[in-house]
Amino acid sequence: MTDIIIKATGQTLTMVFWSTLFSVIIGFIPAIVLTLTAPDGLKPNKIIYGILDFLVNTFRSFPFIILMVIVIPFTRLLVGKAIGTTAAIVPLTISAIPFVARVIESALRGVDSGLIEAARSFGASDAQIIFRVYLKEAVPSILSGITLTMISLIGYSAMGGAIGAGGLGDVAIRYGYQAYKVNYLIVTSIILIVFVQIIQSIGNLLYKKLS
Amino acid sequence: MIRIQNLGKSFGELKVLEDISLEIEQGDIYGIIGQSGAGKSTLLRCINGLETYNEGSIFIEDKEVSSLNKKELRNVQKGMGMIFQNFNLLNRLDVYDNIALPLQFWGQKKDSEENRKKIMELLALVGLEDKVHSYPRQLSGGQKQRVAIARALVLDPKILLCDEATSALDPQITKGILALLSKINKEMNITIILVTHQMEVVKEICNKMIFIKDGRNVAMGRPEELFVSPNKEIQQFVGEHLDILPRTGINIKLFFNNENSEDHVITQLARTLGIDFSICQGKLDNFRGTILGSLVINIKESDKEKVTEYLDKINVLWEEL
Ligand SMILES: Nc1ncnc2c1ncn2[C@@H]1O[C@H](COP(=O)(O)OP(=O)(O)OP(=O)(O)O)[C@@H](O)[C@H]1O
Ligand SMILES: [Mg+2]
Repeated sequence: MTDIIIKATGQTLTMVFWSTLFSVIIGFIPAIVLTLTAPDGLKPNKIIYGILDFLVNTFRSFPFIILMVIVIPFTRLLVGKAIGTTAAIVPLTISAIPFVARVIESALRGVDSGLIEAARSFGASDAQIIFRVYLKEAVPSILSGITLTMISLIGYSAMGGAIGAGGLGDVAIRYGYQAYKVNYLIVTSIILIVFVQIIQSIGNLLYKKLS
Repeated sequence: MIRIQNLGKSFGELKVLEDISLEIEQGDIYGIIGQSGAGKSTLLRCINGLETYNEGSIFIEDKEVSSLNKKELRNVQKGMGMIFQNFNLLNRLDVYDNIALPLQFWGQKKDSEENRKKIMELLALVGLEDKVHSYPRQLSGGQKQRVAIARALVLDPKILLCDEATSALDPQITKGILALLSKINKEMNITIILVTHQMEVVKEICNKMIFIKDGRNVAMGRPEELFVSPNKEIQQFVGEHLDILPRTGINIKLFFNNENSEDHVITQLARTLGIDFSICQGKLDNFRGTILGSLVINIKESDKEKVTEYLDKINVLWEEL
């Protein structure tokens, strides 16, 4: 049992870590574009904002289990295979991007418009406002957004079993549920709960420290 | 220094500024006063190019703001520092870094010897040397505004724009900030444009003012003139009501200027002429250290000639209401 659990924990951590990293990096771009083109942004643009907003909403409401199947060809193209832990990172990342885009967008738009105005009054360029004001001031809220993303990715990664990704969720279903081994269910659940708690606590701590 | 001609500005259908013309000279402390929503902030934002306008022109030392390209506008903005009602300091930067931020926008190193010296001098000017590494949340409102003032001065502007800079502060702290602005105006020879809805602020430090109502200029001139003998709009604004004056007899308003306000005009009037009258309304104000004001007295119809003759003789300005 210990071996199985340790292996599964490693798989879950791998999936969550990499998909968080990639989705945050990629999700930053639409988040910044949304912030800039929003009606109250630096470069209001109804069309770009409308399209991006629609895309984000659509992808966010897409059921993960279906997304996982749909992106199989793309996954194969990217990592050479459609099955396994590495392969699961692709749909996990894709499903998290719109989520990340939203949480970072709301973090950025939460920055007091007065600060933007002050920066503009001193002759700051748009790029300077993005990096020195928006991103600087929003760091704490961006971090809590990332915490949230990680936690929801732990949940999604449990479905990774469907494409042979393994992980704690997979163990819980195969051993705990299908083979009636209650102790597997209990142990995996506890580990998942501990993970969530740890991530949340670190997130809260950083938020406090940075804001 | 700044010349505004027939300025007009609309947000869609909403006309916010209409036919505003004014001139601000080097060394002025110019007050823009009016009720909430009058268009004061919009006017200020037009001056430093944060807002565009539809009609008229704004000249800053012969440069017309709307005709500038991006780079030229940035340079004009560099010459104008700005402070705000809510201070608008970055919470995640300490006092030093907040003040250094505009320098960084202009590609300068915040830690160069020159800039370090400059920032420390500014902190000394605003009286916050001991708060260099405090964060905004550790400061009081008045201290935050002082930091904002230091930040606004760090690019060596010629003009300081203040948008309701004291509206979030209590009267005592307001006085301190106004004294600081006065000092900056005198010692650094910086022209100040000050938007406010508090007339005490205008009286205390402005040498010129414009009163804006619904986007239009309804009074313009020196505060001591406009408030001592106010027109209808200003009377309404300051809450002066002529309708509470007695309806019988004659109401005469006396103006006190610099020379006679200290004297005992009223008691002399009664004693010399040997008449009785009642005082109905009175107001004395301190304009940058000068006491000016007006008093309304109600006299008997039959005393009118005596009284007006006497007032003329002792050189007191008066009008019949
Ligand atoms: N960006 C904007 N879009 C649309 N309307 C605006 C905008 N900014 C200001 N207004 C409107 O213009 C009018 C004048 O606003 P402004 O902020 O200049 O008033 P103000 O005199 O500064 O008032 P306050 O004392 O409340 O600050 C108001 O009716 C306001 O609603
Ligand atoms: Mg305003």
